[in-house]
Amino acid sequence: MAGVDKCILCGKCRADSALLRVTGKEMLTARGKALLIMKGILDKVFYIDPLNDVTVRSCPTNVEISEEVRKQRERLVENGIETKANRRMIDNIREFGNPYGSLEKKDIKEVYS
Amino acid sequence: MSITWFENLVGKENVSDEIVDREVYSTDASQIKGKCDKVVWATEVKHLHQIVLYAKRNKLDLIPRGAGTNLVGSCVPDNSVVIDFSKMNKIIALTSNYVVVEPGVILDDLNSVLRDKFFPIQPEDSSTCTIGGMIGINSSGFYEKKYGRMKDWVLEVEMIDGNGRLKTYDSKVVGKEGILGLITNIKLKITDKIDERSMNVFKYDKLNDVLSKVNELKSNQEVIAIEFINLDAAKLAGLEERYYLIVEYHGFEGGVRDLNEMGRLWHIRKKIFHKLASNSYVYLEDPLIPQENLAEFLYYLETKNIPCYGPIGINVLYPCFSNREEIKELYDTILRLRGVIGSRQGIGLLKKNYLNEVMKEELRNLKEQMDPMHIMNKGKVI
Ligand SMILES: Cc1cc2nc3c(=O)[nH]c(=O)nc-3n(C[C@H](O)[C@H](O)[C@H](O)COP(=O)(O)OP(=O)(O)OC[C@H]3O[C@@H](n4cnc5c(N)ncnc54)[C@H](O)[C@@H]3O)c2cc1C
Ligand code: SF4
Repeated sequence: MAGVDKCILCGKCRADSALLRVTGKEMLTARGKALLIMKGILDKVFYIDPLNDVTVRSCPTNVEISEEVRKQRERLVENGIETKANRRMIDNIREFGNPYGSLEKKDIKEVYS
Repeated sequence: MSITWFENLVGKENVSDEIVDREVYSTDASQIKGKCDKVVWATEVKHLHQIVLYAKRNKLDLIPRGAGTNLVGSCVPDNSVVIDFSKMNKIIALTSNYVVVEPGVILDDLNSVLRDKFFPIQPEDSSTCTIGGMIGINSSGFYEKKYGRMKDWVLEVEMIDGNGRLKTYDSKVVGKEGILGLITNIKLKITDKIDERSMNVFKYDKLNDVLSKVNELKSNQEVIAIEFINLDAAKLAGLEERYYLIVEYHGFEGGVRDLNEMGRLWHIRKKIFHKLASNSYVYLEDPLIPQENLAEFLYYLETKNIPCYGPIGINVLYPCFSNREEIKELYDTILRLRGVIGSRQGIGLLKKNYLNEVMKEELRNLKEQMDPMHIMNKGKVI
């Protein structure tokens, strides 16, 4: 597995990005994220990253973008850059041991993932 | 140039001048860096029309972009507005002999709806390249020997030229790398799916044997693809260190007829770029070499230990390099052997110094007619 310095910008990872198909936004692809990391741009876009986008099946140089994104999230948190949803999740895990908050509320009927 | 005009036209969600977007649209698969001023995600032809007129008034540079997988810097901006066509990805009509698509349709998405029909231009990156980008580059695929290139399958192209005129053209606008206008709609020929297919893989130890087999295969009308892998490429790809010819036939002349096995053989061929790239051979060239000098060219690659593969059946090869500096010597050799630099994957920024004067002149004339203000993909090709 390789770091973003091995990214050759070929764009093969576009085929793996479900979000790209809906939004058309290059920054959501592994190539987009690799470019931002190479340039040292820290942005909330690293929080938008569903599982199918972090496993890059097609990458010719084996860039492990999920690991790189994890490091960026660490940096974001260190720099106090968070999304509300992320903050709430962390607080819930600390307080209730799960990301949804108190189960006492009983307002969660079904959970899909 | 303010973003408000664009926001009012296309909505805030379809335009951005944020640093994250400007950064990721500043380059393409060529790895050349430019400067992107704004990105617009194209959704409607009427918006694009307004944008072209606005660009004309304000002397902006517009860069049409599909998947940005071209290898020559065709989508690299120069303080430009990049128009990303990824969201214009509808297949509008499918009949028994043609299909109408928006430019952002990905080739494999088209392939998946064709059922008993077939679109024969199948480049290696079919999972990512868009039809608009394929028209821009005049893409070619594995079956060029029999089916030709993109321009041979284009019936109509609707385009807004640099004057702001929305018109329908024939294939004369194919391969112009976005320097004439924004393509908004495409009508492509399709053909019947080939049911009777087969393959062979030939392995050799001597280059002379490869060349005589290639000559024999070229004159065989049943043969639709001849792909070559040289010793250095085979070694890096983890294959037995021999020369390979991967051949597909229309008909049952080949020994491999099982579709899964054929898929496996093509998979090996398609993975060659991956294997070379993971060994740092990331820069791919695409020279066309005249038949009489093909042997000399292959021996040259061999003495220099340059890994190489590609559609030898049409005299095109893909030598790969780990360093751009080394490519200069290759270019000298191609020119000495009266070959063509940049024969299949576009000219863009990288190869414009090598485009022949006759073609340049032809393009300049078209540009004067269709984009006299030079607002389309500034600095590319000519
Ligand atoms: C790994 C790899 C393998 C490849 N294999 C092949 C191959 O086998 N055969 C081959 O021919 N090429 C190949 N290429 C090169 C390239 O991918 C293709 O040429 C492809 O067709 C480009 O498609 P795209 O959507 O990425 O276009 P882009 O790179 O986005 O654009 C290509 C050109 O088309 C123009 N363009 C795009 N959309 C429009 C529009 N709507 N209106 C006007 N102009 C437009 C752009 O301005 C640009 O000049 C390969 C590239 C890679 C990285
Ligand atoms: S597939 Fe890999 S090398 Fe290619 S652009 Fe994506 S991350 Fe980079």
